[in-house]
Amino acid sequence: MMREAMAVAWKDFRLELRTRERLSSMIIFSLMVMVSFRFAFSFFAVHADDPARSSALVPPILWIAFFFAGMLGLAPAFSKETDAGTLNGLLLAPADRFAIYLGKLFSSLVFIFAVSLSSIFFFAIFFNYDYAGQWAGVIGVTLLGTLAYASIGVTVSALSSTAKTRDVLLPLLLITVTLFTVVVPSINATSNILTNDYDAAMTHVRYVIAFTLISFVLSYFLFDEVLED
Amino acid sequence: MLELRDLSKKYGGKFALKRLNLNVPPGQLCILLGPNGAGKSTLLRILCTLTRPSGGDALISNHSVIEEPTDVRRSIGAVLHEMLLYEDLTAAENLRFYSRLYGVPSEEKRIDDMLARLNLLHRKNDRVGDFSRGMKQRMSIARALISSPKVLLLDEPFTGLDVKSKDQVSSMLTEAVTGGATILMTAHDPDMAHDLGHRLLVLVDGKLQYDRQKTSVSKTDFVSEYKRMAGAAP
Amino acid sequence: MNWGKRHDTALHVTLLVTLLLLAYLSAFVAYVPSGTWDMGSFRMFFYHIPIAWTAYLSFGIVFVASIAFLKTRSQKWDMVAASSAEVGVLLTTLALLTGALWSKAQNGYYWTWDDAKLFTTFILWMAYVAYVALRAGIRGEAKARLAAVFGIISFVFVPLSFFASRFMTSLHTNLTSYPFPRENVAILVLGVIAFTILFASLLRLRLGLEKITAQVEVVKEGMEEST
Repeated sequence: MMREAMAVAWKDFRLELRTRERLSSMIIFSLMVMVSFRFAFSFFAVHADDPARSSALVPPILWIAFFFAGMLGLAPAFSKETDAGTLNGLLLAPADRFAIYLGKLFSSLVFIFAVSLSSIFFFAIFFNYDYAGQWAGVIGVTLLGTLAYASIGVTVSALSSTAKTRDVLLPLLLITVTLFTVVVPSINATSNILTNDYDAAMTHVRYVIAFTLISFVLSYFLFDEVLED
Repeated sequence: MLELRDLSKKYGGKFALKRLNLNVPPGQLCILLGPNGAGKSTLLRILCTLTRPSGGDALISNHSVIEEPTDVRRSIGAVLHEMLLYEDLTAAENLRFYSRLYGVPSEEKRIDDMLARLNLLHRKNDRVGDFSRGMKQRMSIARALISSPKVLLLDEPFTGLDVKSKDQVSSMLTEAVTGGATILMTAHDPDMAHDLGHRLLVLVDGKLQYDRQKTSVSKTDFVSEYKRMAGAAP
Repeated sequence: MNWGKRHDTALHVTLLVTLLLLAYLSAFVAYVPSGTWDMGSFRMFFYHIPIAWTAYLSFGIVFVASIAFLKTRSQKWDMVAASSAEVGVLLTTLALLTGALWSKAQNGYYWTWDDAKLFTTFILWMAYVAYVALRAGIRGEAKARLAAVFGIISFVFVPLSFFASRFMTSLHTNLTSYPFPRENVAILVLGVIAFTILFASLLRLRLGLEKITAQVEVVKEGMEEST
């Protein structure tokens, strides 16, 4: 199983290295979101010395960027294969369908992590903000949150890849399924970390981790049905 | 090696395949002809486990497509209408991917071997997207053969090929069959079918109307017989 | 399938439901409680609860039908899921609306994100809309299968979202703190039964529509064949 999953992931990396389509669109989008917020919130300049306001404002901005940039990373995972007709190549392989899920999850995660982490740094630059020194905590929550997001996102992306309306459908399905389960707890956890409230942060983080496990289990049982004819 | 048992496929209310029965031993090259819409591609998709049958079963290397699809996939190599190639990757990268997917041992040597036999070695590190139609088709066949499958399923593999490529592919297929593989191939041209195949099958309107060994019928007879059958189809 | 007979049954059921609802309305008009509750908002409550209940029931049906479809591949279950989802969108929209109206009269505001039940109902609404959108966007064989998968996924996620919300919200309008005479409980139960029957007949009608549409498709295909 792992061998096939790694083959799929390696192939995605090779393709991305060759074309650089996904990463570039994701990073540009993330930058656009940051810049838009920078000007939308010009009245509420983010001050490092006003922790209450920053800790309330920063996480939502970050997570809106992560959510949509992440979506740009998840959509091509299956739509490219469907459009190019290569999906059958994957389906013909004598591998568990779950191996395809794992492979796509791994490659999507690497892209989404890369963009999320760069977003965190861009944000620090644009908003002149240093996360109250809590870099490790913020990055940690981001990684866990994006893992949760992708773990169900890959399945949802596969679900919508054959629909004619997939460009609109994917965001709709993703929001329904991840808004209150991943995005909101991650925002809360990040907020808590920025105000040094680790206990509260852990409650939310535990929830996100539980959600990730549930997503894995659901995908394990349902992914076969999503891909097969 | 390949067996159909009362195989049926229904789409909506209509039957695309009606209770097909067939038994193909190893080392036989079967060519399946039929007019458009006869159900040839549907049959191949079922054998590739890309679609489930509505009734009956199909067995490949004694594995059922319904019960043991993974084992079936392990024994087959398929060339379909879609090339199943990644245009932005090189020939070698494409084959490397499929080798890993199928767990092919000593993949580099095998890749070079395969490319050489299909006369593509000189384009090993070129983007597949830049290949001509004929070259892509040969790549697709390389992809299908990379795992040394016992059963080959091909959907009109000669489409868009020039004479030279057709010859190359034909000799590859004959070679595979001599080595013990079973081949089921769909085609449109009864002339070519009679030349290449051991066994000739004709599918019309979802039913197998004709099943003869090549040696039992002359080419001219077969061609006219086929024209009659195909012409009479609804 | 003899739809002639079913048609009569549906008619009878609808009549029964209408009668029940009329009885319902007249019954609680007689029991205006004194003091705390304003008449208008009080009445809304008696609609809101049963509607919300049927909205959740409907989603449970989508979930069960989705699983049944994946296990049996029988078109019947897919039709049940599709019908239940469409009726469910309607019910959830009504639940949110009646809830908002009642909230405005009772609390002075239409909406608050503080309320766990409230935004779980909102997620339910989003899930329904997403499910219907998914079905609308996919044609052919895959539709039933993919919709079933999403039906299962979203059903699991609605309560999950509820749990997430528990960390940061207060309780839904606490009913036990209101004066609630015993007669009103009976009326409420009557309302729940009435709306459940209404839901069932709506579902039946919608399912009938689905079945007839499927039959038309078959006939259409048959006609295309012969030309």
